[in-house]
Amino acid sequence: MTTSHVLPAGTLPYDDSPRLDPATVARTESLVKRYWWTSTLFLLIAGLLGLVLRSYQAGLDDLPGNQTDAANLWYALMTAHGLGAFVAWAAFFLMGTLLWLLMRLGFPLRTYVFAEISYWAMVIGTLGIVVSTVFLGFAASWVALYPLPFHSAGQWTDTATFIFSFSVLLAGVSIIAWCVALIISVTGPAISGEQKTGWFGRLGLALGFGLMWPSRFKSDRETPYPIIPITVIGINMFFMTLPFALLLVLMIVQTIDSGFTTDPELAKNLLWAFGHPVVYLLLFPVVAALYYFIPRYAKRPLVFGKVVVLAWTIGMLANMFLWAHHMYMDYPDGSNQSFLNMTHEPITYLITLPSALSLFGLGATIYRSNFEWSPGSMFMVAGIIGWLSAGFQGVINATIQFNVAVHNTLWIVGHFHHMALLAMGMVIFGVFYAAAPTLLRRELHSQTMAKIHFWGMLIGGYGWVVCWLGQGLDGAPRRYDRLPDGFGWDIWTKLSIPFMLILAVAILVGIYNIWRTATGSPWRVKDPATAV
Amino acid sequence: MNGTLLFITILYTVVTVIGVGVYFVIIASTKKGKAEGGANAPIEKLERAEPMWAVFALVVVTVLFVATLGGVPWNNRAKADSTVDVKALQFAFVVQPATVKAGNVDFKVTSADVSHGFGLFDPDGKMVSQIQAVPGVTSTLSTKLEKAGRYKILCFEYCGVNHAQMIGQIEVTK
Repeated sequence: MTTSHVLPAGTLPYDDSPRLDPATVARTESLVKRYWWTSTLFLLIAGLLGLVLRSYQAGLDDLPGNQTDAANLWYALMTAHGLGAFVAWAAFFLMGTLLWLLMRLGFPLRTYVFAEISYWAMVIGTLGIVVSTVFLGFAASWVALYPLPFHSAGQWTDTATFIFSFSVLLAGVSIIAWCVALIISVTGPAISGEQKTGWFGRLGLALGFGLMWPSRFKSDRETPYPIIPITVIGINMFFMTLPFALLLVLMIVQTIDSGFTTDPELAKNLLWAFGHPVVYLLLFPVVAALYYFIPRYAKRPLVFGKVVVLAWTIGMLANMFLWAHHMYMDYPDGSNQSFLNMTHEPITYLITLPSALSLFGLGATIYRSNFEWSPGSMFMVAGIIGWLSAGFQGVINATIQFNVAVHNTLWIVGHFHHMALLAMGMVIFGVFYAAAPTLLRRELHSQTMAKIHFWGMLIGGYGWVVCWLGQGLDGAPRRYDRLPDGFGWDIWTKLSIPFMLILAVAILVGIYNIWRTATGSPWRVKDPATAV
Repeated sequence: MNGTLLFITILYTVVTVIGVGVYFVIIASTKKGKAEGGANAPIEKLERAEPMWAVFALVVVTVLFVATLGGVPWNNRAKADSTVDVKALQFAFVVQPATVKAGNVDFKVTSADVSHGFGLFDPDGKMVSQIQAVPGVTSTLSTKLEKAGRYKILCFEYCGVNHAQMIGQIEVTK
């Protein structure tokens, strides 16, 4: 074993993190590891549910009970799978990872209270979702489109609706607490040094304004680029979780007093005011991770100018006023919804700006660099390509004329699985391979397994997603336990099964590799970031 | 596959091949970069290109916005030759009248309980159009039905346990 202060090959490349207090590092890392392991457990459960769901659609397995019971269980599992995979795995993993990134960038948590609240609220909320869906049959899908939770066709009770709503509310509390932790951290003294800038000034610095207007936003330290998307998502999710939280409270009240009701269109707007920004709860942390790791692999600073800073501010504002693109097919006679839909179309286009500039800047950083190819960087670059190819689908979805053809089809399911797993999921695993040796003080168990994981996810993942996209382009609707006969859609479902199995095996190999890494022999080395 | 879906397929394929192709060129360039120690990359030139790239992205989405304005359904209504009332409820569509003549048809869609989706498929199984059926209000889907035959209506918003069995129909005659 090495006793050098230099980390062995394969660890965080070219680390230039500021020196940190060892106690801060130890506490943060312990917290982050909890986020990582818990979210990975949720991935295993949500992934297993996904396998069951798609196999049932293909007619390869059956669910217990008569046809109605089986169908309701399928929809209940779909509800659990959606929340489990998206929030309890991907978002939760990234929420933990950002706490680590903040520390590495010299912005350690100033208080651990909110991060602890966030962790426990998410764990308890996830367990409540499992109870309400798997055991109590709540099957209104993760969006729980009002008033469906109160029209169960005899399949679940108001108690199940209460537990589900309360549990999702807890997940919302987790997100808000995490946002508070982020904002306190990025507006702390780390950003403004001795300048004694006011709180809003420090917030401006965290948004990168010092890079655009250095004389107005003075700082001893240039804002690291990853801090910008971290700040943006902290602000966005703090505000945009509140409308959905309000809807959940209204639903909880209705479970107690059945005479209390809410307007369905208002409820839908409240839902999507959260439901789209929450996508960026995954994407923006992923971008922050790419901003952090890609320059280290390329051994050069990010190739960015000032426009990207402006683009992030535009993206932050746009993210709070674009939800109606999920409601393009809602335009009741005499209502203002069509006007809202119309205004949210160009606003949705604006949020492509930070993506377009980030994809440009990351590509420019990699271009003709002495790039270090490793499992971490391979996953991340594949994630960038996944982001690009899934992003184009997003532009199609955002265009009203095209949305008429693809809304609520399996194209949408293909799109979000593409984005969630082959863009953001790829980067999540890339972060693991890049950061785990440093965080765990252990060498990666197997490079070969990492490569199997990579190629399996790539081949299985794209084959699996293309089947959904193809079905959607043929008009197949989403959220059907079994598609109707006579449309020729089933061939795509069956075709997707081998790819899904390749994907599942690849992820299992990856998780096994992670587990063996975590339980391997530790190095007797010090991390340069903590060496004092 | 209807015309819009075919257009989306071609547009998406072309744009993705170009975009991913550019990234493959970037990946391939790292071989040269390794040989040069990363010293000869045109960093300043790329940094200067950032504003131009932002302008390009804005122009593309602006063109897309303007070019597709004519396809916004609520801005694009022809005078109806006939009107059909559709009431969606768990788990059926009540369609009146059940037969219409080919031509411009206004579907007046509402829901008696939860949110449903009205997804219309022509006799060849191609999607024609769709709209949401919102409880308590009426929404109008204007569309042109050219082919004679039996059109199927599928629920396009998840509405509960028998969502997949919620299929209606309407007959179109010449």
